[in-house]
Amino acid sequence: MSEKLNDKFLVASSIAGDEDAFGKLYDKYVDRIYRFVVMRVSSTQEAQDLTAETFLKTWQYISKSHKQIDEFKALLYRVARNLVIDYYRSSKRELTGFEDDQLEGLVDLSLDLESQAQTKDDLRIVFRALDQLPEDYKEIIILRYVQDLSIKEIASVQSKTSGAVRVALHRAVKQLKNILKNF
Amino acid sequence: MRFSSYKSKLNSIDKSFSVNDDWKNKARDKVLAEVRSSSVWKQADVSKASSNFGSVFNMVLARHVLKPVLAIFVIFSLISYTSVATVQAARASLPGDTLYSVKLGIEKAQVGLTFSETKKTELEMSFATTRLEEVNEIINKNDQPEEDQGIIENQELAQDIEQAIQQFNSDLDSVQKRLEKLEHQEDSGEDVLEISKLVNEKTEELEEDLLVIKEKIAENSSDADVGEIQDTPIVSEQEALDLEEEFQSIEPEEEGSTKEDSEDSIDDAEGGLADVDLGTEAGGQVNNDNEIDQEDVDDDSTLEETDTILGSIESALEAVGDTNTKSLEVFVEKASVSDDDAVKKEAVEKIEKKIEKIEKDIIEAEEKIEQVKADADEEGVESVEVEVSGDDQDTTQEAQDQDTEQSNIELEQDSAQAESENVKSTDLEVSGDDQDTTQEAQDQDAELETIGDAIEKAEEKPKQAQDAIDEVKQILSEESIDHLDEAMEKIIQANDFVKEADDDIKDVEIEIIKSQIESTEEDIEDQDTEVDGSSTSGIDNSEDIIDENDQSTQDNESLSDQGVGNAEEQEIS
Repeated sequence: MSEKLNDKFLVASSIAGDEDAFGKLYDKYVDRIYRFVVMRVSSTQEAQDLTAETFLKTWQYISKSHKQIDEFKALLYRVARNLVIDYYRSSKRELTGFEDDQLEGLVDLSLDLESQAQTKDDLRIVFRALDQLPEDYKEIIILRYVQDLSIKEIASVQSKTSGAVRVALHRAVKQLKNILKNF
Repeated sequence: MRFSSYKSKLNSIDKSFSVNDDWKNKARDKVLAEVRSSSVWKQADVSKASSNFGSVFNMVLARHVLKPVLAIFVIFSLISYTSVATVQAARASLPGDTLYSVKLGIEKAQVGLTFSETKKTELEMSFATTRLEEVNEIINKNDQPEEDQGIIENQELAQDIEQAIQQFNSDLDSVQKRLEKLEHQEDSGEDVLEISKLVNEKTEELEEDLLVIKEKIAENSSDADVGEIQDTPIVSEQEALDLEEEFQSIEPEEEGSTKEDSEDSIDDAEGGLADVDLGTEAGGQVNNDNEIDQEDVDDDSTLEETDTILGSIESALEAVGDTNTKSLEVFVEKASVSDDDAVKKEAVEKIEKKIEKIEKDIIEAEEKIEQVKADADEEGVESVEVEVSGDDQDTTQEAQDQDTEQSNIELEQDSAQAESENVKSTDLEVSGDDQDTTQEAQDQDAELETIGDAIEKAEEKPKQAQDAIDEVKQILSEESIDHLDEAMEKIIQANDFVKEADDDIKDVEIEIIKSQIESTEEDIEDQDTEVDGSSTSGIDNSEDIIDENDQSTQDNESLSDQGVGNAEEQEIS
């Protein structure tokens, strides 16, 4: 709970003119947003651009809006999500998972080689399953299990009710389990 | 695979994703640059039905004297509990509103919280821009002035606009000082390049905005049934007195009191002048109509307001010009030591742009001098003697300094190619002038010289400016893009010449007006018998007032000379 209040204060400070406050918000969430985006767009370059744009757009929104921003985190994810959706529409690409060589760019190179290899294996498996899900189920799985968002937060991000989110999540997991049977 | 093991994989990969630090930092800078440059004080659409707490704040706290520092603490603590309506209200406030001091305080806090000089400079530039936006808003709000609305309304308006412009000037002042600091910093060349470029470009925009504002105000005043103010060939008496007032208020600008004091005394003087009705319209025709006209008194008061504002705008334009020149100086200096040719080319482009501007100013100055000359001819005041002693001393000092500067540059240019021959001869010409001026100064140290002489002296300056500009063009036409700093020095010289010419010719205008007053005095004496009884007493009174005014005008003048002297000395050092 204190995290939300802290965010609220930082947002208000940055509107009031404290640029460092927004910098702190950036530092806090940039990794998360990047990881969320990169799993959806299968390109590190694209993910970087979209992440930067997410923050820019979010700033534009909060600096112009007259409403109080109660949930900065959810707003960020919402903006990121919309940017990802727009990216699909404009690129007209089928969502192909990461090519094997692209996985290289994802892995943390400071880890020891064994862990790196392990991570790459995990990534391959994860994507293999995820790619077989329809887009909105894929998203909800990522938000819930990779990003650790609460049901309420996911509802805010997707502009749905909590109930709808729970139902969707349930169905997504069910389908995923089905896919995993073949692994 | 079981779902639970898949789940744990999902969980773990998040941690193992690497995020490129390099990109992260670059993106951070980009985002924060946007944050900084977006006008935080943009017109917020403040709905009057703000939250209860907000309005309580407005009413209760704002009534008491809210010092800016205290205000920030209050605001920040309020923010955690309530809506940002309060901050929004402050954001939208204008000079004259109760929350305006809060707004200024928050701006100062912003600067205080920032650590880098370049970022501070960026902030201050955006504040200056906001000041002009505030002035525009004030003007737009009052766009339909009703004829019978008292002068009081206009006074408030004028005060508010004044306040904004004074803040504007001090913001730009601060920018100039920071630029100077940055100029002398050894490292971080790129940052400084960028900020000086930004300031240079922004000041051009600000100048345009100011000119638009000037037009709007001039329009407004003509709506109020007064003659045209813009492009007055001869300075009206009030303008002349206002100029002197400006000089007086150069130093104690922070305290508003001094300006008010001088305004009060000048009010008295102007009231007296108005009674005599010496023709406050453009053209400065000496009006031999000695009737006291109530309408004219009223018009004069509105004129006074407009004149005050226009005077401030002139000083704002000067501040912008100075900042523009300073930023160019810094940019050229950093560019000349950089390895990047593209940057050097940019510097050359900017210098060329500046040359264009200065040449325009030179032409304007020359035209003005011509007009004054023509008026002096008309009035037959060429041979009127005036005290200009303070001026001479300054000219002497300047002449000495310029000599030194020029000899330095001559030495440098000696090592240049054959083309410099032209430059050298130009140098000789210029230094010849200086010698003349020095001698003149010696001859006439504390003596009177004629208005005609003063005009001649003023005429020299635009020529000197043009010479300097030609030298710059010479330097730029060289094959290699070297000697940029020399070019910059010449530009600053040319600028100074033009400014001096402007100041000198303004002084001459004041002298002409003074002599007009004196000759009117004589005319009044002559025409005494023709006027009926009631007016006679009025004229007698106004004669006395004229004498008093003469005295105070002279006092003001010597003060203004000192002021000019001080300013020039500072420039030289």
